[in-house]
Amino acid sequence: MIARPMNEPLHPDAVPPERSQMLAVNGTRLCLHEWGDPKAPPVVLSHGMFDHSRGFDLLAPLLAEHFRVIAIDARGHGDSDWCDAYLWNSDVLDVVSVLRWIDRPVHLIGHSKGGGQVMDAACIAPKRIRQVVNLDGFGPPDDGFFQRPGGPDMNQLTIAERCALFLDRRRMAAERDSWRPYSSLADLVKRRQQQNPMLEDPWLSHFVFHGAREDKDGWRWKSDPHIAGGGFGPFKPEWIAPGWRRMRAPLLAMIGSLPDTWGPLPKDVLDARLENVEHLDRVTVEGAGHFIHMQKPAEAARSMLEFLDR
Amino acid sequence: MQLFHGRVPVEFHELKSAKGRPLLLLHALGSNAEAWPDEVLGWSEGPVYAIDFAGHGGSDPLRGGAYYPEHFLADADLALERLDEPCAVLGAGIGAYVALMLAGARPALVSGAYLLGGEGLDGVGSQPGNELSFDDVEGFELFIAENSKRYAVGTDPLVAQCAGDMRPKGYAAAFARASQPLLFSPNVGIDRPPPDWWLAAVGANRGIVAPEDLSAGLIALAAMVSQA
Repeated sequence: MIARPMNEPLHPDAVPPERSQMLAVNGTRLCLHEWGDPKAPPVVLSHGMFDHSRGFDLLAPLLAEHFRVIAIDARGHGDSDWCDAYLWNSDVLDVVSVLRWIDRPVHLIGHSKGGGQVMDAACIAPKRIRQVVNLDGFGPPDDGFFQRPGGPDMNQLTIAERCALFLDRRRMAAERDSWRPYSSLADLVKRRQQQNPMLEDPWLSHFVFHGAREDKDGWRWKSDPHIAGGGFGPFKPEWIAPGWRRMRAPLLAMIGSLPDTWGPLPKDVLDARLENVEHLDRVTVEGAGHFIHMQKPAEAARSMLEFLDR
Repeated sequence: MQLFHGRVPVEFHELKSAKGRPLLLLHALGSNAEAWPDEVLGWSEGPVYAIDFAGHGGSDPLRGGAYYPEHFLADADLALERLDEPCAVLGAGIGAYVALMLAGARPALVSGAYLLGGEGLDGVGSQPGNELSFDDVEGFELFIAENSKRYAVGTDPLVAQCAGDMRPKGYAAAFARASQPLLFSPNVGIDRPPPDWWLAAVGANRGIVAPEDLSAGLIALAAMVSQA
């Protein structure tokens, strides 16, 4: 078991990883955290945008009673290296590279952006994957995630106009090389709670503590601020689901019952997208919003353990 | 001179100093600013500039290797910001695609673009998908190895992933509709008609020139740009 930092906010059910290491893949280094018997069948966990692998500190120990659990800090997140540019497909290749390193078929579990990416990983590397669990990561709603309060109506802009906004952000990228510091961990927790009001203490303090570091001038997120600069390219939400027809691994599609910041999708939209999945189980976890594994870890783990072959 | 795209230095070359409307050159995948032929200096009465896209020539490779065409577009946009006046843009291969996007996204700063077209301009279908066009990591590595064989020394082989990152026809056409004058010529040594979306998006009043008549194309571009 890895020693706890002195100032770590304690959560009664959060279990720190037993092993950690950096793995060099695709021109970067990923931080991997592990729980459970190294000889047990492997399960790989992939987190969402601006989250990190320690967000699985509640779920992973429950799965680790039966599996070797390996959680990945995606590039630019947690304790993994920062990169100079970020692409969906690079994250997917990173996941597959970790599977290649494990070198035996795995169960893949992903949340939010990580959920969509493990499905894509299952599409391109079917022999490496046994089953897939996606926690509320079925893509943005049909009108996108990108509308900002007070900002231009993105759906009314042409591709060229939206591209100009992307270029404006990239011009400013050189000036945005780090997050602004918060004077205390409590302030950073408060900031995160504004974004995700359903996440509460003491869990949120634990989660934020491991996603941030204290510098001379305060607390900053570990994640790379350039991730927020966003990429640009041809993309429409309706292009996502047809690609899932290539997936041969069985999928457990898990959502929470409560409307939350980034999910779930409207029922008719989600139903239509999941029609593209050949082998599908679905479950809704009562009392959870978007962060199912943080809000209802026992219920999420129970459904997963019923679904996953041992 | 170096410009900074995020943390990455992008090499910006002044190839010719002169008065007049600037010409910005955007190179093909695996090439760089040094590869433009000597006659490049005669291609414009005004100053001539070129950049090296990330991972090419004097520009640093991207840590993590996540190359995509719009990253190169943002590299080129830094040159526009530096020039701070309307210029003509000439691009070859993926540089032509970048020139097209730049002309559409920054019509006030790109007074005309000359596209020495490569395969990317053709586009594929209506759904590029976010899907990878290769299987597994081994397939990706093989794709990179095969496509990077002919690249200039010093090019990051990982830029080759842009060769498999195709855009739909409608995407290219949308930029073409938003741009000021465009000229198309098949790239040197390639017998290729303009992309099939070209006439509908660009209109018959914007030119198509023969590959062997580059100088005529540049004269035509200069005339169109001066009227813009």
